[in-house]
Amino acid sequence: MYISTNWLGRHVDLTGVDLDALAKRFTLAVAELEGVHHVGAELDEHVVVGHVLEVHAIEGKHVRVTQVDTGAHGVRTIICGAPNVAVGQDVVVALPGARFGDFEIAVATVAGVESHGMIASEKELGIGDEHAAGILVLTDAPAPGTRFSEAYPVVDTLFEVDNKSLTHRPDLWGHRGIAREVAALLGRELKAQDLDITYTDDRPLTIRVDDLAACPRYSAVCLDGVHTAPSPLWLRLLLQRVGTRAINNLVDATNFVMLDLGNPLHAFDRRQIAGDAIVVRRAAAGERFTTLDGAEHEVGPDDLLIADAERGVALAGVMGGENSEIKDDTTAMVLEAANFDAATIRVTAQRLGIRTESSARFEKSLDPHLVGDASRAFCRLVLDLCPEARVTSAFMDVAAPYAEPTHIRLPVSLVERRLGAALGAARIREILTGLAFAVSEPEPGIFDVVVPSWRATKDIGIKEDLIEEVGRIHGYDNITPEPPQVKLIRPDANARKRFEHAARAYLTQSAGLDELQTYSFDFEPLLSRIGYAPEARLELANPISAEMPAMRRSLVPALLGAAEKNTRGFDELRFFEIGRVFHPREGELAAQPVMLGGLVAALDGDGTAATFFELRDALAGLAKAIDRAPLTVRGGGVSWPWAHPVRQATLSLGDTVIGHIAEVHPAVATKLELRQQAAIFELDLDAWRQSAPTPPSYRPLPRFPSVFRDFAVLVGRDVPAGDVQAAIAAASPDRIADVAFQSIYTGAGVPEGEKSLAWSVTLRHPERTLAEPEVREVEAAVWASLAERVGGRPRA
Amino acid sequence: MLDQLDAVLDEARAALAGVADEAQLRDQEVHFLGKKGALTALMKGMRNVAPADRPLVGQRVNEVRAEITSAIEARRSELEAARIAALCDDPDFDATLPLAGPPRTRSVGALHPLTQVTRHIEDVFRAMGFHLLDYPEVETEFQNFDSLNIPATHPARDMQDTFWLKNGNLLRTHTSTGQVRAMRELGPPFRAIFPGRVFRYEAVDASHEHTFHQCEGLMVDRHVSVANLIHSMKTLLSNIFERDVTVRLRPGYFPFVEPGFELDIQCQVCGGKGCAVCKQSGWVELLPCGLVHPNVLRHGGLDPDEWEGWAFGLGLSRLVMMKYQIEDIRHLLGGDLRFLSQFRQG
Ligand SMILES: [Zn+2]
Repeated sequence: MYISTNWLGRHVDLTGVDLDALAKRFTLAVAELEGVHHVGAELDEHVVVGHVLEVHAIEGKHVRVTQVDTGAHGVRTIICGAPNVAVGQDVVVALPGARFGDFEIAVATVAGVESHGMIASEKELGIGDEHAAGILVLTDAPAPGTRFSEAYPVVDTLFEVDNKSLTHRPDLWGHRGIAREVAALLGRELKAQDLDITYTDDRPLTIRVDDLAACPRYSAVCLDGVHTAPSPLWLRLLLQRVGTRAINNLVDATNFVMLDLGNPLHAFDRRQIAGDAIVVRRAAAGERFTTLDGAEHEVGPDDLLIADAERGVALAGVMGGENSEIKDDTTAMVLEAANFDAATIRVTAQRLGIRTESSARFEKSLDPHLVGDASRAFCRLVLDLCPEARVTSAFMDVAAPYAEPTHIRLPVSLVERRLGAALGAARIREILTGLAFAVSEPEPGIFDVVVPSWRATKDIGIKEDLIEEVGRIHGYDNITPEPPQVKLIRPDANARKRFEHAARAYLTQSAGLDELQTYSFDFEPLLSRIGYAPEARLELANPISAEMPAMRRSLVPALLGAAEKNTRGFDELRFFEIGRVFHPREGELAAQPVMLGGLVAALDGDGTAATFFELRDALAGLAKAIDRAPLTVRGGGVSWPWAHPVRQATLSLGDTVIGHIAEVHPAVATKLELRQQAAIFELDLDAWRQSAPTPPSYRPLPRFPSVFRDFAVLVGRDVPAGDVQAAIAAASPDRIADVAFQSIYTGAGVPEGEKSLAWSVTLRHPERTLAEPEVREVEAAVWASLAERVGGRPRA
Repeated sequence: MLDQLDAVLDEARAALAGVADEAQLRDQEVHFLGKKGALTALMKGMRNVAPADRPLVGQRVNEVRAEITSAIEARRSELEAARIAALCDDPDFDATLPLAGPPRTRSVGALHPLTQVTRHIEDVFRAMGFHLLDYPEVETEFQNFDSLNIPATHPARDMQDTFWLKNGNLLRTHTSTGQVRAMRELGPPFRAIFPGRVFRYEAVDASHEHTFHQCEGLMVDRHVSVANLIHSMKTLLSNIFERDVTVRLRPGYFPFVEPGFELDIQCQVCGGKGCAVCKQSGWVELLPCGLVHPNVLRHGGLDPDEWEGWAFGLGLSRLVMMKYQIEDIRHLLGGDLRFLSQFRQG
């Protein structure tokens, strides 16, 4: 929204005010300015009002020679090409020396005649309609020679206010409201308005409001003897400066009052109001209504209509009807000034997709008291613009009972305490009074503050709101920062976050995986490429696209998607994500466990499950880094569509499966066009975190030497090597310090259906050197354990 | 001619049966159907066919072509199925088989830039006595709006701004959802931050994402003033940016704080003189903050005459973008390793 400082000057004296400094204060105290624009500076000098004395044609030329009285600048000969120039006109003359952009006016010879200036068009002045043809003819000009910028508000400074920063301030949607703030900031008076109107006793209309909740106030006034004509330049200029197109005097007057006082108005052609009646009612279901932009809408009981005795004539608070708008030949009109309920207007504007200056304002909860001022201001303006016009009715006004004035009890000490600034009662009172709050002090140190009606609709209701008023006008920059007085505490380092960070640190620093973050939504095209159709998901009512309709239940699809995305760019892929997945639950908030998922991919070398084993061992290392027991890896048992049917395993804490690890199914890898062999895992990180911690424990350094023994073990081909390893370790836990895998062998010398696993075992005792007999005893125990637990025997 | 066609078809069937892989299959495809293939060669004999027989022969040529084509496709899917089956076959696979030899060392991976910045902020706040909290991303309407004094008619509740779930819950639109939870969980007085992922129903472009990260800060104590807030913010931001910063407060409207502010930080690029980054204003809008609204304290079970507080919401995604001068917010959740790998630290 643009605010013209010339316009503000109608409400508060801005003489001598540095407007750029004011803009800064305004931003800090009221609302954000997106820009400050200085306009029309080039029209300040060498541009004056002129009076056309003579116009003569030049033989064979389309231009004409004129004599123009420019007061102190003399009667000038000026060549003019505009078809509409005529004797007796008041015009704008650019004298030699005037500049329009890069173009400077100079004495020049045109068609053999010396021209001493230029008669300007609106377009050349940069103030009007692009399409306006010919020169600008003034209708209310002062004496010739008067500086144009002195007579009209052409040199202006515009404040471009960020509308979003005004959503909670219904009082700031017009120049007078802004001027009230400016007056408070400057410590100047807000000028009183002269809104005296003489009404007649006639009551040519009846007003009936069916729904006072949706329309808390409706007023109408009738005017006769009006005529439509272009508005005078000052009015067109002000409208144009703030971005509103001038139409004709009546329409311009409604817009001007809206932009001035903030209350939208609507003008009806009197001829079109049937039955001398205005009815404010809900639309009937399926009722059709054509707005003045020519669009037809289906309206219904959610929408409020202004109707006459027969039909709708305006969509309340949003837009007038085509059937009753002001026409060029309108001579009698009805002016509506009303107040509508914010929510009702918002629903209609939103559903029909019509956002207007009017609806934008009503959506902010305007003050019903404003209606009377707006109506009177319009009448004053129209009586000026159309001297023959007469008010032919009373001020007809239907209103719900006004809200009682809001009183707020405000301890002075609380203001000072909350702001952290010793302002003193007098200064606080001065600030509040400057903003039109009525302040009394019924008991010492306690103010009784009455909120002005235009701040009471939704903006100000509690003492904290008043503290803000005082703070912003005083200036937050004037408050000295002060450290809070707090107790020292031992902050709780969130166990979950610490755990997750430890996992991240290990996976990046030691396992060499990059950390990824992906969207929380499932991406359906990817899911279908993977062949994954998740069961019950948390579904969105308004997804951002049909391809992302629900919350993810697994991190894996997005990890596979990342592999698909990066497969061409990198020969090896290593990444993981820690993030929430979502499981709907009946009658309570969805379960949102934090999962850890990872993927390793490398160009396939020897056909072994190398990436599977790399990930598996990374998880073993991770267990140490996060002080938790390692997960048990058990082959098989995984049914996710992305899991290789054989190269797969569950990840368990004891008997509880908390995740899985698998090579990516070759069919899925083919579908995703992965160049690499890839393996993935996913596990419930919350579950792992909640398991018993296994903090690193210190063991004294060995004081006695170790003995190494190799074991070549024959076992059935389907016996897991992990079981063999465990069988060896279990043979004599206090004497077996380590069981290291050496190799696997099948082939010549190994019976069909069996395999040979070679191990290097470290034997040691904490309290004595192991002598040969004892070593043999352990060896025997190992073979016994192997035979018993996994059917193992020595390879011959 | 018809006999020759039948012969070609038989020949093709036999050849396809003997094909062992895709490369051989493609050779056969060229051999039979290619521009210089057997079928094309045969077509050249067409001019010797009696005109009356030509339609019949032509039709048979098309049939043979179609049959060979479908035989090739059938063989192709057989081969593909066999290839997948072979890849799926690993009878000796042992998920527990240890890897022999010392583990390979890997080059270091990257912590996501959001993690790096979040960790730094967590460290800064922890050093100043703040608890670190963590709250759900799927929330109730009450927690996201009502508990924060956001009325039922507030535009933020519209479908245009919030992701709603079919079950009536929603994706939290701000980390402020944790304010009331934290008050009830910790009890006053306390200081806490709660960083996390938030969601807005928003069209995505280089500077807008529907999923981004925030960090909420909340302090509740017996005496908390605007002067305290300014001091705290200055100190916190100096720690975050690791240099002295100049801040200013402007009025800002957020229903859960009163007074509410937008906090601007003096432009770090130009030092306040005005540049493209700060749109010549010398200031960059950084975070909304304010004194906790009494209704929010009430929802947290606290008496607003007894307890006061301040809160702020720091945009982590924006901070990350500022810190690393990232031009497009979509990189953050885009999963592109060309982006992520730049954040590896040795
Ligand atoms: Zn700058």
